Amino acid sequence: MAEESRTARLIEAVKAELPNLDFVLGYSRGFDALHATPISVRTGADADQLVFDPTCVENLATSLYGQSGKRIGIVVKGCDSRSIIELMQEKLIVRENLVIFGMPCRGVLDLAKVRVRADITQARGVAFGAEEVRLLLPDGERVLPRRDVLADKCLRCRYPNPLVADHMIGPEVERAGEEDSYADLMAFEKLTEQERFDFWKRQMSRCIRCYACRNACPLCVCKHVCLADSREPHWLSAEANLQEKWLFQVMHALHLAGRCTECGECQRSCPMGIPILLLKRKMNRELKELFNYEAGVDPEAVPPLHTFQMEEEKIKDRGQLW
Amino acid sequence: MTGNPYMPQLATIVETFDETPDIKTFRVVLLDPEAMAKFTFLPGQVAQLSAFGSGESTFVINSPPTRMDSLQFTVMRVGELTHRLHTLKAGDPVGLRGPLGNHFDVEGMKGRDIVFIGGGVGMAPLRTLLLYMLDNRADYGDITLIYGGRSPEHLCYKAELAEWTARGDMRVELTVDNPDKDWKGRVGVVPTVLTELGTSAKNAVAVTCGPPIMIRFTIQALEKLGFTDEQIVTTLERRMKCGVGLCGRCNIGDKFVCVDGPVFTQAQLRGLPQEF
Amino acid sequence: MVARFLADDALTRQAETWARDYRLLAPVREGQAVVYRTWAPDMRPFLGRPPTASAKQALLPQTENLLTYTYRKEPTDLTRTEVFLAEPLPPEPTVVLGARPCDARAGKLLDRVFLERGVKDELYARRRAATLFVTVACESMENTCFCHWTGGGPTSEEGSDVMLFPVSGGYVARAITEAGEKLLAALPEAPAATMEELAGILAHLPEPGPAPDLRQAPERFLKLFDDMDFWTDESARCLSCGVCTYLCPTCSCFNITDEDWGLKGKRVRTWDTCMSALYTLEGSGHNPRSARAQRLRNRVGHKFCYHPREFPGETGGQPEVSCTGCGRCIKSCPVSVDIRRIVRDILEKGEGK
Repeated sequence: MAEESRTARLIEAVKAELPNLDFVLGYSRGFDALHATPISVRTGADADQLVFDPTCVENLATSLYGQSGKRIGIVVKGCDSRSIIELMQEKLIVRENLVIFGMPCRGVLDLAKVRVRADITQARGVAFGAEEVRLLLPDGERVLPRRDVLADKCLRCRYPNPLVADHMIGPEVERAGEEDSYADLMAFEKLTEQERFDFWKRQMSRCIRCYACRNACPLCVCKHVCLADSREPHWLSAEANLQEKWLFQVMHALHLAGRCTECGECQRSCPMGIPILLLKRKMNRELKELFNYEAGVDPEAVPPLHTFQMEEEKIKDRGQLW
Repeated sequence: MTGNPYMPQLATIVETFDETPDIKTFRVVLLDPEAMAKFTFLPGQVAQLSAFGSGESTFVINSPPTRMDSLQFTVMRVGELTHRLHTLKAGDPVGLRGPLGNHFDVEGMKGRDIVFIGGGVGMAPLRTLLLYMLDNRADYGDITLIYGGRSPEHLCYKAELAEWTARGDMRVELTVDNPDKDWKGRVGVVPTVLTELGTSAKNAVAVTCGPPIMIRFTIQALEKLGFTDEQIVTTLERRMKCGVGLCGRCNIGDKFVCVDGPVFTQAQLRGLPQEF
Repeated sequence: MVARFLADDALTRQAETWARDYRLLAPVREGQAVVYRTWAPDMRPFLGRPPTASAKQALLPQTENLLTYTYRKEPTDLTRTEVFLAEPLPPEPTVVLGARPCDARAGKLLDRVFLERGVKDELYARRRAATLFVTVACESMENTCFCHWTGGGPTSEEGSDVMLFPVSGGYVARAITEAGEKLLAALPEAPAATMEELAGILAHLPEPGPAPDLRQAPERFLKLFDDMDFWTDESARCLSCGVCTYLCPTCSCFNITDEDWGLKGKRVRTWDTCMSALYTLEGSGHNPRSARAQRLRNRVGHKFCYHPREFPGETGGQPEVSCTGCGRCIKSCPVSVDIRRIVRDILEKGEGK
């Protein structure tokens, strides 16, 4: 199969670079066929465990921050490469110390979508066809249309080929998505304010404050000095109250405005299935409208909230306010 | 209800004084005189001090059980609670939970020479034991104190250091990294002074507390002087919350510093997973 | 005790009945999650899958009042204050519906910490005494399940007051305790045909795969303790989030903070996680577990080494470990860290050490 030969080429490329690197971040098989798990490859034997297929959902760029001084290889999909570009733009990583293995990608699984369609808790295997996903379950095979179980970001993906790479393990893929219409957001915004508030109250009430959303985010780089954990100043109470849970998500969305590449790791990582990516998409649409800016596509660009102009084109100057 | 292990007793601050630019000492008494009269502990035991609204934290009771007019705590300003404590004054209410944890083996140390080796705020747990021994002077052999700080102003209990130096029945060696023009003591780090003094390990016990790096080099120096693991006693600092072995964070392997410590011999520490 | 029958279409009605006398925590579907909610009239309990989070919250709520305090300023001298403390309110009698055997078994392990270790935590004790578990037996094992490693099994009754066994059209309900028997008083006896069906189901429960012998785990863990390469490799993928510890039925570590509202406030206990760097960060800045390798080592060590050393005993041929094999830490981990694999690696690599 094409994917298998690509994995073989990836392994070969990684092995060739290993002598120059501290380690390579890649994917290996997880606890079952539907799960990949990140691996840091140090030896040839580690490299032989590498896999690449639509189960490789994690954005490995999350593990880059805080590794300064190390020479690291990293396996990236198109979407993941945007996180790397954003980290470069913010001078949080040194490009020279990275060796990027680019994997053009036709989309990854959204296991939440799969779960709605099939009980995969006892899955025995999976095979990926051009248009379908074949699940091997205890009671037989189950075939699902590929489009039905790909992550939303993949259905609207405009960058299936990594935007930055040292080794492109092709072939390159044609882009699947058109300009983002934000249809999901538009539909949500048709609800009344009260309905939207009630929606978020309901959703956020099951948050357990595990901060998987924050820790899985490649651009949440404050780590353990996060505002959410600060006792001085005491922004958030330690209590698992609705207002604390909600305030953190608002903070997260605001701190990612103009930085978020919508890799979706926050939402995918949420054990309680809270649709928090919608908040980031809201911010991104506003940024797109105000500054015609898209995060993580141009290493040379300055994120709009990292700079300012006295006269912003699309922000109405309200004059002296006091 | 009874049995809420997190409910402190109310206490009042009776006196505060500055030790160093960021260390203050507090004397407190329990609000209930009967409870204060019944309060017993042994040197090395700790208590949780509360400033309601800012939390609670663990501090050694650094007054000795031989002087029960108040309970004394010395607090370095580093976090949420300690910032708040530093704003409090005589008459202000606090909470107190204790005594907690284990204590120095004051019985086993009887008849032996004692070497106290302290650094910075690490003098606090040594103070309670030192005063206890001075109050029972005949029970113990030679007593030596080696105490160091970054500079003269960073030493705690300055008045007492002068008193102890003036007493004829113990030896006091003070040292600083950065002396000022009036400094008459030694210059240099504590382990070096210890080595220079060449303190004998014979029938001696060394009790040490201070920053982790000081402890490490002090233990090396003690070993060179012939001290065995059983002769070296230290107190560990750990982040603690509950103080009663339940909240989990102060574990070293299957031991909890708040219950099984904070006092450990070097022999006991060697038997634990090396994670401190 | 007599086996009774709880029909699918009687489940909601039965839940309503329990909710009259108890605070009822029942699992409901919300998106891809199955969440325990306090009973409300429009709820439909969902027992088809194990809840996303364990039932731990019934015994150890994520947020719990330890005390409340009130400052009073002296009217004649505003620089003087007095403080008054108050005990927390007693817990409501609670029924947990839809726990799984791995959740119900966890109560015993929480008891070890809060009732048996040393200081008895009366706040926990009274909550424990006021909580009943109506447990759903498992018909199959998920890829992430490993209860059989820890002396449990899909139909283990330990810690449950009532067991519900899924059969056609409903559940066979069997009381395990006196309190459980009272919960089932209004239900009809299970028909003979249903009991026959159940016997068939129980006779054909799937055989779990082989479990490793965990008796060597504590010793081998300690042998590997200082092998930082081992722990760095095992933790390389970990994000240091709290998913594993918060969803875990036995993780019981907590934080205590004061939450202040001017002159009033409360001291609260909240779940904490040893996966966070803040957990052990000392005021001085020193942190004995600054690296995630050290933190993951602590989580695994606590469950498979420190607990069995502290509470020696065997259950089902295995040492008592602080884990019931529910697999939530594996299933919900954003990067699929698999504690089974770490334990197997410990057993294998610690052997020759």
